[in-house]
Amino acid sequence: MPDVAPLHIVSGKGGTGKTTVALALALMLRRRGETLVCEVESRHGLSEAAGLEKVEVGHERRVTIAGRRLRMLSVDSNHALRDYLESHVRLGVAASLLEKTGFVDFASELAPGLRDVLLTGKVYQAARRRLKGQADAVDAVVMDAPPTGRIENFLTAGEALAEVVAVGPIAPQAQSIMALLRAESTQVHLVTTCTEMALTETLQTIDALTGHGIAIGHVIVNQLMSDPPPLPETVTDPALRAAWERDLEVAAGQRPWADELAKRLDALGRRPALTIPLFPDEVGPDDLVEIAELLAEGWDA
Amino acid sequence: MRRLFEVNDLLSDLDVRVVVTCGTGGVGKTSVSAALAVAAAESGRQVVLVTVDPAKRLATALGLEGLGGEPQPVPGITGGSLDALMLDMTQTFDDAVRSHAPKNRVEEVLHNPFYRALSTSFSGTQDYMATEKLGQLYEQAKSTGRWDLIVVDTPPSRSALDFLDAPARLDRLAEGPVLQLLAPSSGPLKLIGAGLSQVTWLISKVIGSKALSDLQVFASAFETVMAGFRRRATVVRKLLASPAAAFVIVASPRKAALDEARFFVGQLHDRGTTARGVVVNKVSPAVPLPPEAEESLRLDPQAYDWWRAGWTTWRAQRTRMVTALPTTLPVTLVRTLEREVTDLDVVRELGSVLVDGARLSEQDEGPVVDV
Repeated sequence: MPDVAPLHIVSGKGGTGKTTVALALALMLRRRGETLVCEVESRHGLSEAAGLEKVEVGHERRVTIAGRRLRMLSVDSNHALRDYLESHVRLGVAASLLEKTGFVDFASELAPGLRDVLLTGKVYQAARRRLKGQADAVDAVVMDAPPTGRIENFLTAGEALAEVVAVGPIAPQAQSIMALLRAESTQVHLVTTCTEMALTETLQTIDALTGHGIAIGHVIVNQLMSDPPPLPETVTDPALRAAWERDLEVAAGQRPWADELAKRLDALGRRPALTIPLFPDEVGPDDLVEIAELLAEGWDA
Repeated sequence: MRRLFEVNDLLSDLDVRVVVTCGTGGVGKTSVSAALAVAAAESGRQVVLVTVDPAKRLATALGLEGLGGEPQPVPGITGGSLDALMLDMTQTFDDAVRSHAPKNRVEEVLHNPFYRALSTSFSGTQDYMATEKLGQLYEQAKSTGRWDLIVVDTPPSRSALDFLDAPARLDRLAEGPVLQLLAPSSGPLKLIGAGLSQVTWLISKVIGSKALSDLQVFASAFETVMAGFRRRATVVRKLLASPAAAFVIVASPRKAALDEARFFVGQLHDRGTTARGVVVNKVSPAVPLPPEAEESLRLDPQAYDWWRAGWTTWRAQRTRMVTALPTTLPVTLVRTLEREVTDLDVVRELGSVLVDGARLSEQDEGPVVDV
């Protein structure tokens, strides 16, 4: 009996590489079945990170990354609101009146949580295709979500919205999204680096989301820098020595935070973090496949 | 050779009263803002720093622990003075309501479910509130003379533009038909022709009639608050367009951050403003070696590869910077610091790296054979 496809929500502090990890995770999941990767607020962040042509906002399309085929979608709140109005409210011509009066603008600017609920709603629809036996069904959905600084608000937007619209046609939409986010099939994965700021934010986010009943999947330590190789005594160039010592210091500076994270995750009864090494430059399609392999090794452990 | 962004010239320019740092998440904008503020203060200026969501230890270093919304002196600053405050969105919003709304409506607004949700969970609110706070501080600085420089770390947003656009968005919202419709006293009802009841019916179809009536209460009570915001926003907009304001763009050598920087330069240009310069943070310049040193290093293949890999990274970063950043934009580079910017000493170190400056040079002294 087919059910709702698992939803993997990827968040992390800005600059930790959550978009990269979201793509790599999608590539990993692709080996198990049809996978959709979507973004909800960055304009073409996914397609750029994958080295692809821009994906037109609101239109799902098939892409190939290093020979693996994925579905990709850039969700936009105005599109989502229009879709919602068309399919749920049956306004017909009147819908254009809402546009003209600026309601669409107004709603996405001011109505608390509505925008976020609509964005999640689009992703939810995609996860439900399998349940409904649709031809474009997918077996997994990966969401490149807002960064940890905004993720709590984003994922609890349903509550914020439900508070103001306890009744009315959009209330059930908010309800079903709240339910989906707490379903067993949904997990939030957090990407971090071995730095105090990113780790602190990650641990806070685990606390906050767990408090809302939202399940945390993996913590993924990205951009882990290894020690530089020993520098032979014969090398005396002071600038090179200084650069080498800097590398050594940066690598060593991560260790206490790696230990701290391991301790905290253990205390929470959680699996150890997965780690991805620092890539010397921007991650390309082949690197994404390599990261996917790394993730696959520890994913089900 | 690109023009060097002389940070010191900016900080010692007494005509500059506001420095606004802009950039996408993860580039180190908060650290750079703090470093600029500390450097300016220690060069003798009276500075106030508005920061958004700093890391805990940085907040502690800046004396910001557990204090909501009011500027606090940063201990350990020599030369001039530095006050810092953390933008507390809900607090700023509530304060604004108290000061802008008529006395008898304050409680009504503060308890309205739309207001509560708006003030706590709407992401764009941060941009409005940063504008509001900047306006407050600017007026306070003028009337008390307590500060001669305000450094604003803009809220983390999808785009650096969100902050700049906040006043205009507020205008659009306030003048937009929906608020006009819901708060009929706010002006001529342009929509009567379109059928008032039809529109409100449509809205109630989407959010429900209970919510519609809450929204109507909110809109009419909020009208005066909006007017207050807009007055302040107008002041801020003028300020930001004047020579008293300087925009500093913060980027990293990543493509996305550099593209955003270029986009923002264009947007500022369209608004008749120019960015003072861009700080490219977290670069990793490679080390040039004289031929004999290179020969000697070559004898150790592992170490040699490490050095060459450094050049591969650096060449890629430099190419991206040269390609993405407009030639007219002054640039300074900041190498990745060994330590995280979580205490005043590292903030100071970052400040002196910024003041010293490092040019974006297109000259290449790396290994001849690329790896």
